[in-house]
Amino acid sequence: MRTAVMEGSLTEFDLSSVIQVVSIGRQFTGVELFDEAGNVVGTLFLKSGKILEARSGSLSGLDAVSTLLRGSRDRRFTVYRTEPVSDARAPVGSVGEVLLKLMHSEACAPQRLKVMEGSLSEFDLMTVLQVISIGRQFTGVDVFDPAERLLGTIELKAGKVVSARSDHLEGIDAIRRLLRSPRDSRFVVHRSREEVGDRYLGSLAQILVRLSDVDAGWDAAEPNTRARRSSPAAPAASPPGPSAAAQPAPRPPEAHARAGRAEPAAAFIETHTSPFGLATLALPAGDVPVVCVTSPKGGAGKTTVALNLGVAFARQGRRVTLVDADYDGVLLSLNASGKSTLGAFEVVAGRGRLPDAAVQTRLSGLRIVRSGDPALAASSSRSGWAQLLREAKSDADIVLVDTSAGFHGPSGDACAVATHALVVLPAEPLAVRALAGHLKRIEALRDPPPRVVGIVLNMLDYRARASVGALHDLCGGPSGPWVFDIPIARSTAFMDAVARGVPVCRGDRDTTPTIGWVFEMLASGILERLGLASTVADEGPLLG
Amino acid sequence: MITDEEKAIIKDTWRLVVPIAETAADLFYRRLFELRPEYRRLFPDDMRSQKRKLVAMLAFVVKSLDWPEAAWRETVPEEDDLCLIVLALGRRHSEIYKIPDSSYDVVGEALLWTLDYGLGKKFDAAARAAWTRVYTVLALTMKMGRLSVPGASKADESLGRVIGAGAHGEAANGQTAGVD
Repeated sequence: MRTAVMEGSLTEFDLSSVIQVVSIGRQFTGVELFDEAGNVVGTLFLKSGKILEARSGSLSGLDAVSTLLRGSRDRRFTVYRTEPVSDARAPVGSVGEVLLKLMHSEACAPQRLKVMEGSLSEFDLMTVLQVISIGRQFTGVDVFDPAERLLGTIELKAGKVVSARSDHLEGIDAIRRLLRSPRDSRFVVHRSREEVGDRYLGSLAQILVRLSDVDAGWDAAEPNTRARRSSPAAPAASPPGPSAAAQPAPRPPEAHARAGRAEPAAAFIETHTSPFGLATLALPAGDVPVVCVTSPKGGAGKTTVALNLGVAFARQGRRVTLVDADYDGVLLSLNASGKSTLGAFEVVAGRGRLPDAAVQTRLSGLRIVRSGDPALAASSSRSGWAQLLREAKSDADIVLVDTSAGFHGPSGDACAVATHALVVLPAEPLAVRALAGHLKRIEALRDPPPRVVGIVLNMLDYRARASVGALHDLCGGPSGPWVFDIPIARSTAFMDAVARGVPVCRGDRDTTPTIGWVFEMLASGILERLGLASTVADEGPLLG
Repeated sequence: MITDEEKAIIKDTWRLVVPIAETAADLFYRRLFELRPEYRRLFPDDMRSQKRKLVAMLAFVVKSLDWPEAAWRETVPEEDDLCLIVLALGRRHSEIYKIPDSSYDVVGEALLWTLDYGLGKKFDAAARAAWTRVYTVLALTMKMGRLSVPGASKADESLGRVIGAGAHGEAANGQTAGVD
């Protein structure tokens, strides 16, 4: 006798999840799998967390479990209670043991290793590519349509798109097609052990810009051709080595001409940063950078960027002090509430000491100083902020200052005494147009002004033409070289994190949402530009 | 998937929660509504019964996990089976209250926060990991509840017994959500 408990499709819950759920029950339970034609392709019997028996065709035991777990996800399953198994044979194993054993055997196999899988309805393909691009392994993404047919594969390594295929299409055409995959498609990310040649299609950001070029009917030159054609005044092509992924992409002269309206930005960039290298962004040895996170407009995501960068720096082993200079420092105040009544405004006004105001977070390397009583903002002064930041530097490798839009009050004073400015720009046309004015305001803060460490494009919506257009305008303009290669995609994960008062980029691997890893890449890029990147040991030539 | 060590930690930490169960339930719902103010309207004005159900359900989970590995062959009444009960609970949340899958993350966050706040140093990394593991499996089971077959077991009837009387009545009349 059997009594149905539940039934469904493996597209919704994979077999491993079904087994986990059944494993908490203590009844004799069967899990039967059916193919699209309704034929039984395998059966598992479980009780009290043990897999008692497994069958799939001629296979049984562990082999059958392995085959069923690797099977197509368009199968259906039925879970039913059944009569107790009468014989006293030893079970295949506990669910935990069996799944671990299978994972281990998969890891030892010579074929590619699955890293993650999911639905494009949850994370779109561009987000997936963005996340993968921060890794340095040779990684492939397979995209399957809802009927489990392979639509195509994109391969990346260290931020470079190495190859892309989709049916008869290759290269950028294949990527464009895959980016338009149905939202209910599935993706599988796997690490490959194939060797990498010296050819690649371009960095992810270059590909993205190029896609928008092609879509707009503009020049569709190869990225490498572009590098050769860049003007002598433009930055040299990205240097080789690990920093290449974070380096700005060179722009063709015609792109500069198109973006002529942003000329003031070009003048500022050329005056106060080094277009020929990033060395001048670094401070003398032993000096600690103070980076103020700024934006020409409110709602750009400065606090989100500042907080998540703080976490990412700390996770990379840096000692970080994050100071909130924003009147409405809601997020940072929320995190620090109840732990200290003092804030930066009190310290600047001489009513408290920094060590008493700094709140130690769960990450050993990250301290947060909340903004404080807004009523004290009127007592803000550059000398007060200079004193606070001097103290903050004495116990940190990097100091981040979250600011309010514009440079008014405490934010203006803090920025005026900072060593660097990081500009956060929402991916929208108005913000890009406001960039030139913002850079001029940075220039006017003091002489010499804080150096612009780079521009972070935030809240990029890959589906909105205006948003991608903003990316194109920005990267194609004179300040393009200073745009970090990894834009931050618009994601509900940020709103969720803000609602909870926690950073998206968490302190541990298990709870960080996929989008949170983007900040790791951004943090690395900033450290490189500041001359603080860790030296990576040379592992020898790729070939030979 | 839940190890004996994790079961032992769950049992030990729950023992510490029991004396402060009422406060813990209060903290849980406060935190939940702080995280998602819009969830407040899904619950009745008088939360006393709701809080009792939460505690009863958690007590049932802890009790159901408390069996030695060697006893795996034992026959267990289906009305006491954690998987069947939680599937039934999940189906009710999906069918009657239309609770989206995303809400389980928020509930998990509120639960872990409550345990952290309530247990202080006793809620160490191992305890957090154990409760996270158990909640993750329970949330998955709740989500999968929408696929479960109504009346397939005595779990539906025993749900009221597990979480206290009145579960069905309130669902039918008030359409309120929560642990029932």
